[in-house]
Amino acid sequence: MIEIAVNSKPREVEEGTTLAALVAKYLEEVRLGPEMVTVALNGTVIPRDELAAHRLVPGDQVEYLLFMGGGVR
Amino acid sequence: MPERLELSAAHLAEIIAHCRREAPNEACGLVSGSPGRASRVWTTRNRLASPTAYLIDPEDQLAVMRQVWAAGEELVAIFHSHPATPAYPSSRDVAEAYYPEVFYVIVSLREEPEARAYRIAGGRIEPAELVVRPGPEPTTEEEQL
Repeated sequence: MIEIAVNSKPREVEEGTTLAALVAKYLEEVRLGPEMVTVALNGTVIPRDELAAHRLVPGDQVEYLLFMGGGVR
Repeated sequence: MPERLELSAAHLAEIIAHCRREAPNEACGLVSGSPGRASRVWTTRNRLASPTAYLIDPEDQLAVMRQVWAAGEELVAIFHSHPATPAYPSSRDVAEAYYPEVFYVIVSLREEPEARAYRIAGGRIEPAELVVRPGPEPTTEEEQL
């Protein structure tokens, strides 16, 4: 296991976990699709199609936030 | 008993001022603090720049939340305006409400500004009590974004 931070809180994940896998697990929990989330790694927003290319390492700071929006139509 | 969201008159004035500035487009922003009690208002850009829809700019959202987390606060409310319709969640507001743990504050500018708070969860709208207390000047973080 390695220790990272997710939304500023410490968290342990298995070594070799990709950013894509971490985000996919979260989206599964909230039952939403990948188009509804913004993901940043160590302060940089990561495009959706690049999430799988990032293998997490100890000390990584991950942030993910669901979109906040709405409208009358 | 409805849930309560407490904020100062100065916070509410800042929210309304932001909504007026952005009209005729919908305005949006965040409120942080402790559960049920606002301590800071954060104005954000509407990525859609639309009179009928809003999306809090994701970069603003991240920038605000980093400061909220760093301060040991939490997200208390998400606000947006309805420039020409009542202060009640639209069907799209409900469909796109992904934060059941926070209040949704809607400011209508149709007539005199009117703000109302709701919980929106699982497709259900629960009106909440918006308690406005006399208070200090707002701490608005717009300049820091």
